[in-house]
Amino acid sequence: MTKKELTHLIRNRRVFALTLFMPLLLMTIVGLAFTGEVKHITTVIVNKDGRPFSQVFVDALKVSETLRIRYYADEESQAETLIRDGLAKVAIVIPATFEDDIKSSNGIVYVMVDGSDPVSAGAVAPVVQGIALGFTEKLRVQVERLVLYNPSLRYIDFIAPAIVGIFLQIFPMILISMAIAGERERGTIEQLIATPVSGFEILLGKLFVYMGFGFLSATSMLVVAVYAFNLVVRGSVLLIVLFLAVFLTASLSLGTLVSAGSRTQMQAVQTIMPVIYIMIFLSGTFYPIEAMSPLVQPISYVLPLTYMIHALRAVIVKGAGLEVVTNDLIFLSTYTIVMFVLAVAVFRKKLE
Amino acid sequence: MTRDVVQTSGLTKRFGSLVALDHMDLSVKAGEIFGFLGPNGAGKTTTVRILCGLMVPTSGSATVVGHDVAKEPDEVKQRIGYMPQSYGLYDDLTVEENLEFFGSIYRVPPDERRRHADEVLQLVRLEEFRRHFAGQLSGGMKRRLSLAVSLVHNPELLILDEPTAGIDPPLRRVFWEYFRHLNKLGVTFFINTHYMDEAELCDRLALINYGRLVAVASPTELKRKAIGGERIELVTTEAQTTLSILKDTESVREANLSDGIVSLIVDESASAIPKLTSFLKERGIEVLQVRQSQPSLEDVFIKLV
Repeated sequence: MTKKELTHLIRNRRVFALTLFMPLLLMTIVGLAFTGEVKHITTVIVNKDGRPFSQVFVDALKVSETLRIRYYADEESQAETLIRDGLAKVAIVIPATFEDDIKSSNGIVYVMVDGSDPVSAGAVAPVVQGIALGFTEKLRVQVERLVLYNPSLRYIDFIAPAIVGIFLQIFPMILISMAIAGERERGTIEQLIATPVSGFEILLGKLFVYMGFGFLSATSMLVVAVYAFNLVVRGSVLLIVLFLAVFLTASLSLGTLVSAGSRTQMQAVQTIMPVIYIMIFLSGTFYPIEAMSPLVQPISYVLPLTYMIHALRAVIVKGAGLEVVTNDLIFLSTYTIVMFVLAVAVFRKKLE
Repeated sequence: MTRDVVQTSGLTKRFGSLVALDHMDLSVKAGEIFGFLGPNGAGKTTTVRILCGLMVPTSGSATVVGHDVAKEPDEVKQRIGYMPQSYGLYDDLTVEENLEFFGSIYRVPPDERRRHADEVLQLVRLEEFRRHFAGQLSGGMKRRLSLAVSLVHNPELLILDEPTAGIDPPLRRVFWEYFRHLNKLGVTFFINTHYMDEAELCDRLALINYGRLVAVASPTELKRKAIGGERIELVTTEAQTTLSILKDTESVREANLSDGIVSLIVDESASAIPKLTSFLKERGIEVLQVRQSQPSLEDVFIKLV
């Protein structure tokens, strides 16, 4: 079964070329920066001064639409942990001598940003700078950036994991649904289900092939990112592979579900397209989810791609371990199991 | 005693409000070529799909090669060959690869698979095309390949859904040579068709319309049933007199005259012809020509349906 599917994939030159070159092309063309107005970035305040003067400054920060102050920490290390765990994107550190410094000469406020998210990082610094300047004209506040993980703030580090996630969401799903709908469209399904082979075996044969394809694409994309754009993979490769496997299964199962409701390849693709658009734009690929309208945020949080991208960014760019991405893994695994069970259930060996 | 290879009782299939099959009772004996004849939309394809375990009947049951299709579909599938009406093989695989693939999913052991693939390719005369992609074959060759694929696992029953639809008459004859050959080797056939000349070649025929069984019999019996006897045509020295004499003869059921030919319907032509000839001779009428004329199945079909 698997052998036959593999032969189909290789013989279909267009799809096979797509399999090999699309990831490379995609990763290569995404070298562009992306900027836009960013709002509601989760922020942690480390106010070491604590005197009323510094409180007034914090109140000024609270007014900003760019920042959403969620946490207060005592030490930079605590703030750093929050950022590393993905709970906050930015930390604003007010030194103990804040009030004294301003009164005597120039005060400094440190802004620590999550370097793996250059969109947020890029937006925050000027905003804090602006607030600081508006806070006191006479006493200058100097803002310095302490970049945590991604000193060069390169867009490729931010976008590469997301592109891998998106690609693995879209292409395996399209390919498997087209493969299944194609059997129906060409009438081969009738000959196939007239044999004693079980529906589960038919499905598994396809899953294996497209799973392999997914790994191939992911690897080639990461190789391009690493060698051509100097992406540094900081985390465990094994952990990445685990996420890829879980996510690919989910993506392929969803493709199977779509194909169950489609008679032709055309219908399958038409069903998938809108789903894909929503996934790409709401998954935090290009734009932080925190900055989106609260209306669409719930959608973001039920999309598997959101968790996949979060986990890949954490593992690849920040070198996060399993403990940081446990939630993502739990969500993705649950989703995958549900999808797979549904896929097996709908892939029945009958004609209607 | 011959075993029933296919046995259905009260087989019914509804698609919404449409009744595709209406309490169909069939039995097909081992070793026969059973024809399933009916116009388009009569329920032929639905029937074979149910028999092959591809579709679940709304009610009723079907036993194929000794197993209930609903309860043990895989047992049935393993022992029957199915050639769907629409060609359903993989265009991007070669002739050989298609056979290999289907052989493997029927779990035919690899060396037997190769040997058997050679045999079936030889049977359908596609040996030279074994390395061609199925998609490059002509329509007739695709059909032959389709038949070959349905044979990869040595089935005891072949279910063919309009196997020669859209095929030119010479190739249709070739197909029937294959069928005959396989039938001699013990394969039972269940053939859907709406071609009368094809139906003529079956051992027994089931006539269906609107999902109902109209009649089951051999082609000859069906014809007899349709016209209430057998037809003979006589050319005599005096047509008009012949007609008036024979009209009142007991063994003649019906007599007509057209274009100088007297056509009669009798119970059985073999015994009626010598009797009638001498009867006419006694009355001074010379019989110049006698012809047994079979009604076409088409006439039968129209008459019965």
